[in-house]
Amino acid sequence: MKRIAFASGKGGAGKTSLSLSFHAYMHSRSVFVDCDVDAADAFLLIEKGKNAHFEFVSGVKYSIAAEQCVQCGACAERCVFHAISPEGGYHIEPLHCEGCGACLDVCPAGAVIETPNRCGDMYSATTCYDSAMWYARLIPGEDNSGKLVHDIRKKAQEHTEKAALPYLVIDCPPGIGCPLMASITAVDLLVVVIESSRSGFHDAQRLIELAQKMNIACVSLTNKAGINPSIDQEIDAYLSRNEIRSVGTIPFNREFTSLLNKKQVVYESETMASLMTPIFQAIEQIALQGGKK
Amino acid sequence: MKLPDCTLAFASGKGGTGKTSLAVNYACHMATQQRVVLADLDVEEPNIGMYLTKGRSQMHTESVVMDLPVIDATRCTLCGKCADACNFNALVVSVDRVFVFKEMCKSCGRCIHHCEYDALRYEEHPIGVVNTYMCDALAVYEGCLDTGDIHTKSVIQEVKKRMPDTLAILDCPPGTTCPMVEAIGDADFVVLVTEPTPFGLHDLSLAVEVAEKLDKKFGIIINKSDDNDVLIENYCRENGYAVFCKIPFSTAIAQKCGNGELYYNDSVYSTVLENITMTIKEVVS
Repeated sequence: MKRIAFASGKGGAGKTSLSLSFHAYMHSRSVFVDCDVDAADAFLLIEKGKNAHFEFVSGVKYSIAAEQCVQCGACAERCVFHAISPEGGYHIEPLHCEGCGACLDVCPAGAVIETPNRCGDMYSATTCYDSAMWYARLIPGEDNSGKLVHDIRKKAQEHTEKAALPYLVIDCPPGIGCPLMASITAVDLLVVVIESSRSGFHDAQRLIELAQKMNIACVSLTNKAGINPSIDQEIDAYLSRNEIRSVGTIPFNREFTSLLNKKQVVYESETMASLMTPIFQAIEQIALQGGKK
Repeated sequence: MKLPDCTLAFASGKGGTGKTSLAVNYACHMATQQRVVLADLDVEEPNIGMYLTKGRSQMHTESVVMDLPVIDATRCTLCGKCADACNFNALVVSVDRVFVFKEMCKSCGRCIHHCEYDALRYEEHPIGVVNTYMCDALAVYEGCLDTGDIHTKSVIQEVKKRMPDTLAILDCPPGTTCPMVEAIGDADFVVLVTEPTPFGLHDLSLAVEVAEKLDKKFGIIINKSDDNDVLIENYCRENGYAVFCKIPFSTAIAQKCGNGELYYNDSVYSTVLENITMTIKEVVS
């Protein structure tokens, strides 16, 4: 099984549109997993029906039993996350509680209660291509994105192996923090989607720096090219200097947006498909060769 | 028009809707009238600097550190109480030593509290930087997480700690979980920047959920406004939210923003930005 991830650093560069298109290109031989657990969007375009639902429980949260509490304030003093306030009797704000348990250590009255933290949901679904997809949603405001990404990827990987399918297509979250790292760790190939803009280029460089630290093979795909040709040239020069192979360039075009607005995967347009197919073939080839530069 | 001193957070849920370009242009617009600070809280991928390339003063850089427990091997008995106490699996006891995993550690101090041999103490480890500089009249505070580190929330907190009490514009990270919550946590008003697409709408609804959980006043701006605005407007009408501003899509603006150029001085947009101030003033006053 080859794991091919699409990431960008910058949000809005087109990773979901492109990873969905890539999955459409190889739908009979891949499973799709949406690892943007903060804001999972891919299902909006391709989900035909849910097959299974799993609760995501990670770590614990703490609360104070008002009847036992003696209002000594030791918990509030001890909490380094400022999650405990004395207003209306001591109370732990769930959104700020990191689940460390330090309050439990110092409470003299046994008033601190520990409960498992249900913070998200995982889904397996069938797509409009009759392929399988997995996605997860963290409850808005919650923590533990990295763990949820790890868990949803594991489920998707196991599914792909069991179904004896050769590819897992991974749509990654933005940023370069914990959830992004969990989505790209140990992939066979990372497709860096570079939005052709100052911010997009800057952010892609940080992502590539991270990927190199993590020893992950990368190729690049420039998106929204043509608005600022000088930036396109700078990107090409950077890729060349750093020996990063480009699999292609997609020009900025409003058709992309209008297809999304019709809830269509971009690859379903004939013009876009003829532009993208050679790019996707190149990605598949490189992944098969072991992602070597 | 001026605003009273308050904190305005620009957030979105979805990445790429234009919160950074809008936050920077709005801050530059306000800086022509009053003292204002601009903070880059998208510390994993800070982009404010892409727009502020001219008129910059020298940058001051301060290291951001976290407290990481270190083991004194001469005192450690490998009893394992530190690892048992840690809810984050940041400590692992092997045959002859205790390993500490920086990526898992939240510096809660529980391991130190539970050690009976005084074998643990904190040591400072770098996780990122806060860069500060002036750009003409605008004071900028930029947080930047070290690549490979995961302590996003801590770097955001360190940026916020350094900001003076004055009108503050915060550029927030995308997403709807911990980093975004930390970024908007102290805001007096949250400007939710969306785009008229199915993804934009879906992520806006998640961002609204967070703002409501935190009891924040918020308003919605449609950026890249076009014929599809009705998608957002229907959602707002059904839920009693107001779209208080629309910024039309234009290839010229896409080009400018893509190139890191500012548009706040353009007469069409300065009127839009002034209207934003009028709306916010009514809410925060």
